[in-house]
Amino acid sequence: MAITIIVKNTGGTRFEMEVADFSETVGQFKTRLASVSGIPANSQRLIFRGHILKDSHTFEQIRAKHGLESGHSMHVVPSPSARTTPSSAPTARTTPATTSANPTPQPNGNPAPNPPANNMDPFGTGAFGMPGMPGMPGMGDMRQMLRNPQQMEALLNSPIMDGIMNNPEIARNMMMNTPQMRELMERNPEIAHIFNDPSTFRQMVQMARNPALMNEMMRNTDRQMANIEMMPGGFDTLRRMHENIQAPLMDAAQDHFTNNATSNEAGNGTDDNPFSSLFQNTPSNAPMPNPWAPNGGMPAQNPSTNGWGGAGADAAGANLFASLFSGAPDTNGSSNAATAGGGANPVPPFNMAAGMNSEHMLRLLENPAMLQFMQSILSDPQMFQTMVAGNPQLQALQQSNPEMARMLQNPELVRAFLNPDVMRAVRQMHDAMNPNGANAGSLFGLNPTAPDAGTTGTRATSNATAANAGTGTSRTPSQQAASGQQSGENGANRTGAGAQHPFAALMNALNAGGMGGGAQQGTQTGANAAGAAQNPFAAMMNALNAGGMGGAATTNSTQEMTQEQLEEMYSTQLEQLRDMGFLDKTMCLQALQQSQGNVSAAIENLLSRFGG
Amino acid sequence: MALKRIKKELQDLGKDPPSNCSAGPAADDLFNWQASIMGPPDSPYSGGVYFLNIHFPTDYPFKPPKISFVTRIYHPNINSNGSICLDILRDQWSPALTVSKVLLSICSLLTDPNPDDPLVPEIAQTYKTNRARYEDTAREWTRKYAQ
Repeated sequence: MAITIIVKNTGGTRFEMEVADFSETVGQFKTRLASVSGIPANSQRLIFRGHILKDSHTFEQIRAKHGLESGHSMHVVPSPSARTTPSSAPTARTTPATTSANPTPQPNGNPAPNPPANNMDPFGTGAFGMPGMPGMPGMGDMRQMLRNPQQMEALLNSPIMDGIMNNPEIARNMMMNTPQMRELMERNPEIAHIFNDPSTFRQMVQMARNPALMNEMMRNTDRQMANIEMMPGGFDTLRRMHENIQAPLMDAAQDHFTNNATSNEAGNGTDDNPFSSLFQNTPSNAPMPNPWAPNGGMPAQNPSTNGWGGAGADAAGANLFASLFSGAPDTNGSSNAATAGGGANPVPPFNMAAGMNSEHMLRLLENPAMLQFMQSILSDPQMFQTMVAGNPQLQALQQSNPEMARMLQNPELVRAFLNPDVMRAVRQMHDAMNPNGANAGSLFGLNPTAPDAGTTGTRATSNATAANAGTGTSRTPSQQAASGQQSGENGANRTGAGAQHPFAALMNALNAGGMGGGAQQGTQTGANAAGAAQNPFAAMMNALNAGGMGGAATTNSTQEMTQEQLEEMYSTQLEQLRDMGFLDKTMCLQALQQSQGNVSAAIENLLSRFGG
Repeated sequence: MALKRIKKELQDLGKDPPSNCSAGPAADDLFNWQASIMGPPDSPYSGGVYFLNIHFPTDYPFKPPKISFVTRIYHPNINSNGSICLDILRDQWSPALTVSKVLLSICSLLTDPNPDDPLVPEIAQTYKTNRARYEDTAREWTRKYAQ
């Protein structure tokens, strides 16, 4: 019986060798190997399972001693004598000196999470939006922003984004602090798993940075879906996937939407709320039993053919998700490329505004992720400058107002404003002075007619009033800061119209800065911009709201699940844990549940329980 | 439990070992392994074959395996007893790590020594101040002990 042995050399080349006769000695084998590998037999060192094989040994002995089987791999290392042979003298003696002078980064041994091989996951693009948008302004602004792919790209390419991407903890924190996201994740461990994988997150962001890549990914998913459908039973699998993953996701989102809608007392028109249109339109356009039917209603609904929009349309037939998301913004009447990008981005549904009040604000400020985030901005003054420069409104202000420009260039002042302590103080002052919130704005008479930031229609009324109230008092600390930092240089300006108010604009800028540059896009747009400029606190709160961390509220839906359900849900993870030797199923399940299906976190958890 | 996991690792290593590491039981006892690392091509250890002993504790994989060099090597993080200064062999151990991954980490340690956390301060000092001399010595030791 012949066996096949794979012999690898240090360069990674593989030679397949057959051993038919087990009485063959290693020495004879080397002679055969020499003709294949070019390494002379007398300078070969054969290593199997950590042992150097002696020439005199037969394969029978090796099999008995080391358990050699067909398909096993050996290593061959040329010994120094090989170097002296003229034919194959590699210059290894000299090259290391130069190469190791510039050591290349090597992977350390920690098991890096495997990047997903292919973006099979239909949420891939969809999920991107949630973690990828940590610092976005409110709904309206969001949509505005998405209409401009350049801005979007610039934002995604900003160093801040890199910082976030390189620190999965931040992203994770942000997501975990968002009640809506938590709810979704609790209901759908698969999604939780996706979010727990930093490399997936990174991939998603990278995808979003590069429209071509996005396009490619969409097409890939499309193709995969088609392929799966072709396979026997494939369609059933797809359907199951739809029922198990997509439907709950949609339900969850829809639930959330309805909750939100009730709290949004200002009757939102369909047009104002991308989510309502999303859910009003999709069911009729995408028949549930067969969401992957080619030529579904979606492509027709999506007239865009360029950029991401095109990708959305392409994928729509086979991928309900793509169409689901791309369909939504389209119903809002925009047809440019970026909308489809927005479509792939389910953030708009999550209107955090409703949940925002002073208590949450305080808690938010205490959030370590937030602090970290602030710090990362503080440590990069250039980033801030870039953001200011990128904001035409601010630029105009700067030009008309040299003092303003000076202020914005003063990192100290900016820092003072971004200081969480200052913010907290402002907030507390606000609370103390103003128990009735909503009345304060008019009471102080500072901002009675200013269109408040809620006018974009997507923001909850409650938030709008709260934010409005904020304006009334935000002046006080602004003035304090001014006297502290700039000795009242801006006194003259302060009497100007709201929009001219340097601090308002500054705050605005801070929004953009503090919140990852998202707000800057928002503030460029129409009435909302004016509102924001006049109403710094509102804008700031909006930015915070949309910041993904906005929901510092801890309204987790604690769903009780039976062990069977959990077992089913975490079957793959359980399997992995079992392979590692964690045999107590109940404990494993508890750990997995706590870690939202993240195996590494579950292991940590289990080990800590063992008292390790 | 430990035995089952060790057997599984042995099976995986036999089928698809890393390109420059190899490991297997030293004798009949599956808790004692012998491993060999081929000196990485882009390091002064290139061309050498280094043998290591691996001892698995009974509570493996919850405790890290004990790994030491048998072959002498001139390296800031490996002393003359063969002890290796590597965090994943101590406090950074995780049950998700395998022998294969650990050996790969040791390979990368050969390519990129960590002179800031040395086991042999003198070598670390040489590595930092006189890289050429470090490389010469390392190559000489490779020739002397590992070939």
